[in-house]
Amino acid sequence: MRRSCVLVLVMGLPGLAAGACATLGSPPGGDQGLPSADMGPFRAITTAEESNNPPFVLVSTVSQLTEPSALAVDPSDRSSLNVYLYAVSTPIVGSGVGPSVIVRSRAEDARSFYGSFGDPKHSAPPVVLSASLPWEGPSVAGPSVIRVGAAYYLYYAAAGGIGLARSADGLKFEKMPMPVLATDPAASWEITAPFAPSVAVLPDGTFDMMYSAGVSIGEATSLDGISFTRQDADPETPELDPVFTPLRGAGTVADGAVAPFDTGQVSDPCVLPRVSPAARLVTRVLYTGYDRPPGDGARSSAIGFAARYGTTGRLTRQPLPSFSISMQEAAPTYVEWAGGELLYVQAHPGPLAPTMYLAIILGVAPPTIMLGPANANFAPTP
Amino acid sequence: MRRALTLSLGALATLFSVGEARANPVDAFGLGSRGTAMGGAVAADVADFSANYYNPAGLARATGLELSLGYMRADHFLYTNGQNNGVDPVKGLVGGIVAPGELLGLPFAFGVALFLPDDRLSRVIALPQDQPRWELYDNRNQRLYIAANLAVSPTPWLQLGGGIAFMAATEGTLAISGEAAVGQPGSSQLRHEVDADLTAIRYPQIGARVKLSDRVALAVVYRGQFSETLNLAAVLNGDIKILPTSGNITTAYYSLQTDSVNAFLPQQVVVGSSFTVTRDLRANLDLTYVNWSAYVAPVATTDVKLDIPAPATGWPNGISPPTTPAPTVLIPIHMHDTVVPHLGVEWRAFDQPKWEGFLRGGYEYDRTPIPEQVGQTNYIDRDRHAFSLGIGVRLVKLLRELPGDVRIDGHAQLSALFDGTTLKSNPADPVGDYTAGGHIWNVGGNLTVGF
Repeated sequence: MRRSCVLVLVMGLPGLAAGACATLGSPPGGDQGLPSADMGPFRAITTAEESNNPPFVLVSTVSQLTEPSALAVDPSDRSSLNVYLYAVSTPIVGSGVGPSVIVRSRAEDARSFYGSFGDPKHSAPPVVLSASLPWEGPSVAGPSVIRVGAAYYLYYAAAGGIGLARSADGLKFEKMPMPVLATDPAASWEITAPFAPSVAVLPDGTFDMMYSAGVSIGEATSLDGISFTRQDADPETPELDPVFTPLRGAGTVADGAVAPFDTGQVSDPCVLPRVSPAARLVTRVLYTGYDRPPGDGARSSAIGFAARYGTTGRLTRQPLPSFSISMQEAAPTYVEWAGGELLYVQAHPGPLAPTMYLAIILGVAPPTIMLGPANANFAPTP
Repeated sequence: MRRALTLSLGALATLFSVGEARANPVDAFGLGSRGTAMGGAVAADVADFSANYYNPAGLARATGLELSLGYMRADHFLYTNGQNNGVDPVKGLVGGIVAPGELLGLPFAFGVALFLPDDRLSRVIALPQDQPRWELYDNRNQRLYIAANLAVSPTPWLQLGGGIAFMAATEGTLAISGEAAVGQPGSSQLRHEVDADLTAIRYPQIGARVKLSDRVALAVVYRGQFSETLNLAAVLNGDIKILPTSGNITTAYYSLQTDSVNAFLPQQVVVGSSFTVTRDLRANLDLTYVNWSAYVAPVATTDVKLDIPAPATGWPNGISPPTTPAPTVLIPIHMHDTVVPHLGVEWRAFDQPKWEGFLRGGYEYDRTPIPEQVGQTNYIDRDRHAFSLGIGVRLVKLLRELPGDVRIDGHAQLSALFDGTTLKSNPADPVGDYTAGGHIWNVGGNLTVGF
């Protein structure tokens, strides 16, 4: 009997004590801070994050709003969701559209943009750039805004190529008189004037521009951001080659493979260079991929991700789209903040909406994050 | 003899009645403080409850009934790109029984051992194959371990043992049927039926120990392979309407079958040796062959069938049917086999009439079996160097009620996974280059009481 008592005391009490310390299990871990190229996949925001017509965040009832270019208001504050958004505003006139201008808006929560539909105090974002030079034609489009020191450089597309306007405050811009990248007959693949520019400053100070022309994407570089020289993605061939073309030879899809989404056209590059943890420069590019060529009314689009190591050569594609929601999504622009990634694209709400109705929507990554409820107030200034 | 046999049969019956019992965190962190402190190099030098894992034959060396109970905790500090990935600790109660006796005049013993985690008995995760994860430390070790063994010593220089360890597989079906209103999804009337089953899987382990002389012993141990499967099926069969009150426009059939191996333990062969260098110093060396090349990655294969015939009048404006998702194409992991050296020393530092004190040390080198992850998959791992220290106290005849000895053992083990960089071949890889490394602290102790 005494032996049994000793056995219970010696063996039982420590077991009970240890067991009592562990009555509830902790939530599973192992998925924090995992490595990522930070290029999605993105998801569209939901009603929990934007109660007013999600995933749309910059909307007008009288204009199309397209081709956004996003910029963090204070890049040094990575916790902030305060975002500038430049976009193309094209007035809807009857059953058609008028000349396009470039407007700027701002949201302190990345969603409640100044002058968007529903803003009780401002009917529209202010115009910051409109066509005024002979080479531009009637419209300006395709803004790409970067900071260079204390200045804002706004690259834009017009009839004669790609122009540059500079500003000290991001609102009042002064244009260069001539395009910084005009049509070049030597680039035979450029069957249209270059459009939809995206410019980034590389770690060595080089201005790297990617632009659309025809159905492909080309590249030009500059040391000062003004004088650009086209780059040949494949010096082995005599032609001046684009850095990225639609996927060819994809007529048959292997069993189990996903049908490619960018066989018709690649366009609207958004250049996002970064140095990898292995100290390699990765030129990351978000782009619009179309499954059919321009002019095909049945074509669909998705946002893709392509990249290369270093500063020269062709881009390699990621087979799966980064953002695909069947809303004619196009023209990606991107802001990174401490909580994840923001992706703004133009989109159309669906077959029940008028054809010309286009506006700006927001996607976020990683898909598991939630932005939380939007601010009750629209930004008071653009 | 009868008491030992009764205990054996009773415990075996209890084990066979257990619905779910799984393995195996002890491969990573050892079982019991003495074995862990000696780097796991005890296959030829074990006689306590931990013989249920290290070498079942060692049970036959026990001199009396022993009960052991303890606790261990292994905390991971594993990083990618300088970020702590928050891999869960492995922690829980450790214990076991050794019940020796005689069978047909030969020394015979029954043993059972368990590791009872205090956060979860088991965890099931099937991640996309491109999602980064610490493959060998994240999910595999979050499970219960139970082993039961029998051992016999046909001659004084030979011990033989064997037994089984347990785990469970999961099979289930989710059936959904009813009416779906695409115009008012909230008004859909759907019925759900769930049928899930946990089926037991057992795998063998056997061992032998040969005493070559008073100073040298050798051992060989085999541990079987097992796969813990997770098979789930979902079937949806429903009528599609525009509104709850309108007529059917079509009937949709959707089936999903997903199969995965949630945890895989490769078969292992251990060759162990133990050398009594002096009366107070013992040195052990074990080599473990691990058949990692048979490893099956814990990625689900899915097979989807979708059949939604178009209505006779065509699809209403604004409604388009979904297309069948492409089946998952698994990318083989291609692990390679490894040989893991274990070194251990034990020094009896104090030898008093009433007690003895031991100092222990060990080292284990686990070369990663996972190849460089330059492609789409991201099974993160690094070579592991595990350094361990331990102490032990053996109290002799502590109480009149305890004719056997009482042993208290403790251990601390530091596993270093040195930083390495993974370079992706595709610059558009969604994960990209990364650095990975870190360390793991494993501490614990156990109390053994002999009768």
